[in-house]
Amino acid sequence: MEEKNPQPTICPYCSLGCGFYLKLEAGKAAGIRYMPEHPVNEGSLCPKGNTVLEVLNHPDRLKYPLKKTETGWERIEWEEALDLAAAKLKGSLEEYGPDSLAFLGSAKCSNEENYIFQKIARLLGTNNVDNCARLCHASTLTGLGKTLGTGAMTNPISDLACSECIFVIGSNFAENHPAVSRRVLEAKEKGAFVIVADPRMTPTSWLADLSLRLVPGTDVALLNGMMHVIVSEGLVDREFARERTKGFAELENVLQRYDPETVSRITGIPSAEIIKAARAYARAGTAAIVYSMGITQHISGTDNVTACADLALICGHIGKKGAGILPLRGQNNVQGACDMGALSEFFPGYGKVGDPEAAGRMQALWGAKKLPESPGLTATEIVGAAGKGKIKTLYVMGEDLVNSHPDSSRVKQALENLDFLVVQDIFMNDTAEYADLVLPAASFAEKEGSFTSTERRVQWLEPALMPPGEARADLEILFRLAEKLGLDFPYRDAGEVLEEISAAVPAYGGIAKERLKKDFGLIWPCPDAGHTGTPVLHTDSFMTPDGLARLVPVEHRSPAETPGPDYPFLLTTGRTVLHYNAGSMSRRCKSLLKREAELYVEIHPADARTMEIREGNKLVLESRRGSTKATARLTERVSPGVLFLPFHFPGTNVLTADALDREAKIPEFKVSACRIRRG
Amino acid sequence: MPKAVYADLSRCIACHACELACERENENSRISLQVVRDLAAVPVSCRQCETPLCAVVCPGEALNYGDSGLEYDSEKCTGCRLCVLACPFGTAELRAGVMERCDLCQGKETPACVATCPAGALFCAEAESIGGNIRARRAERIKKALASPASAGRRVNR
Repeated sequence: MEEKNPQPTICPYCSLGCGFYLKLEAGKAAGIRYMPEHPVNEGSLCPKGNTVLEVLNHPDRLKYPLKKTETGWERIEWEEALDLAAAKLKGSLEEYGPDSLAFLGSAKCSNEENYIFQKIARLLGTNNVDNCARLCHASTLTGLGKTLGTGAMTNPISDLACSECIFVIGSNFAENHPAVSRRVLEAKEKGAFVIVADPRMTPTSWLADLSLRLVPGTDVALLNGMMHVIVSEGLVDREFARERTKGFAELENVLQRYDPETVSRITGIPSAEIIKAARAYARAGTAAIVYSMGITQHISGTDNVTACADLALICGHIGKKGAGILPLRGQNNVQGACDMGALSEFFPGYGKVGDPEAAGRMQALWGAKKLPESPGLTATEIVGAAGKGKIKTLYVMGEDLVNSHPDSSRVKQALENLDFLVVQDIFMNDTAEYADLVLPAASFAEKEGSFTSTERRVQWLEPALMPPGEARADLEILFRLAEKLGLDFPYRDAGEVLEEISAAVPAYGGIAKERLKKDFGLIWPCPDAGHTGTPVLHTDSFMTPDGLARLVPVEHRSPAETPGPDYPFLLTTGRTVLHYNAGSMSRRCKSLLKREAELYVEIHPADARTMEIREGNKLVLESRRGSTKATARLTERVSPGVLFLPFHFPGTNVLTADALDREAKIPEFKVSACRIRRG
Repeated sequence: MPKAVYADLSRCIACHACELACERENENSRISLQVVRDLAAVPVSCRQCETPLCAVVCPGEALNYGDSGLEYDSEKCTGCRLCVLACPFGTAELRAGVMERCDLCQGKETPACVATCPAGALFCAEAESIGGNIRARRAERIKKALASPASAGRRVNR
């Protein structure tokens, strides 16, 4: 370990990749120093980043491998633990075939760890390997993939400062990616016009010049409505549409039906505001679209993303500084986990499973005789298949399915149905409670490797600390597991794995450990050793086979479940600034819990009055799938008829449905029907 | 006039990072954020008053003010809480018999709350300069908005 104090590191929470320093004392993380020179956060840190010491030093950290016995958890040696894991994987493989195995990679683990993880799965003969991107931005991969040719953020975050118009739809970045705010404010100082479309009034809406409060699940209608105005008022960038895209006529045809009055009836937004938003976006010299899970987590997620791309393309707002489409991803390495092929339908570098050429390339690189040919099951499908007994052994690296997947009761049944479950994590989470074997992993500050942020910035993380007890870096655990499985891996460390990644993933061709250690990393595509990275995508051509973007018309579809007489409220879920995802880290921070202690539900005061609900009342929420308790919070942040639950506490996903987008297989977390009563 | 931490309320996003940074550095947060009617947020910490009421009412001469600002001598503090009652902003707190308030992170170049603010809403400045700062920024924004042919009307169709 290199001795540096303070040691530079990268925040383990969201996808921005903010830098800071850890101050070390006697081998412990004792303080934080800010990093004003970092190009993303410029020294700032959000509340979660500020409390990261509480995670690192938490007494709950897993320290030893644990085996479930009839009398409870039993501490075992690593050797025994890995022998057991390998024997169970091999047992299932021999008895039921490779597709009885499933692997869930982690958007919180490094590129090298995810690469090795999916390689193990595929060498064992299955494509049943996925990661939690399935739950947050799978529709970004499908929607931007078919329009632009690649499902990634087109411009770096700092570019927003150069935008003349910023259109935010389905993103509450002020709470979930706080450092984005400084760029948006920088743009506003220069006179930029900010539009925020969100069913809720959030701190992001506070920054808006125009706030559009749409009915949840009507994003396609709004986007088509804006495009209708742009087309009918002659604001289309005709040259761009002609020279760089295909399919304008078909799009124009569909848009005819989305006049502002019709769209106003669907979305609940006054038609004058739809027109105002369309004009502001189209007329700006440079305009950016920022979106997040309000767009992606719908059964129409792929269509929502596609409509965002169509809007940017017909206005020519892409391929230059200050323009573009910026999907804000959720986890610190969700972009990287996808790039590494921890996805059931993609090899590393997005070669399609089923394409003989892509498979051939991997076979040659890995020296493998044969790789599985059909796409595997997605994260959401793995749970379904486990419930039906088709998956026998599941290996989970750093994810809490019970609290992050929809319909928690069904997830628990599925986990109980498994023959063997391995969970590798830094804390005992609700999924690990169902495991047969729990392996203690090192946290971000205790290992080395590369992480890819939402803006495609690949940064190298160096270890600052030793892991607690016998906890080990995920990569080390995977190396030893591979050995037990009889796989012959030549690597000694993360740097050597990255060398193979640069051969496997074209966009990482020029990325190497020594290069990443300088100047805050590299932004992919970085195809060769002399290349300095590509902050802005699609400047001259798109990543489609002919270099042209596709305009793909999409139609508004109602959500899978809408309120009715039995379940009159529309329930939407999302994030809050003081907690993070399934909460296994943030719910262990006393200083965060002190401020946000338990599950609450936002309800409009008018609804509360009718139902005689007061602030702080305990409510029971019921959906077709289950019920949960939450404390009432009366607020006009939500519209009448809408309830909001943060998903950081156990209980929220007991209510949500597993209706999936047909292409991306992402669940519709954003809309379900619900009823409430006083508890 | 002494410097204090001020917030540009048009920038604050209610993220509480200031509180968490202060809590890490000082054990308890000396800045607190109030969200007003779900429409704006106001972080408040010691105003570093020119004539601090907390010191005026202190019977034991534990709190004294002079040219170098407010000074606190915990040895002389009786824990009577008059300072807590006197502060018009509620930013003085008595914990375990010791009065706590923002001391602008003595010894640090920038107070932790200011350094950590993701929205760049907090700044440390002298009181008389802030009115001018805000007016100057507004004027600059208006000037820019008027100078360019509005972010409207830029597109020329080709």
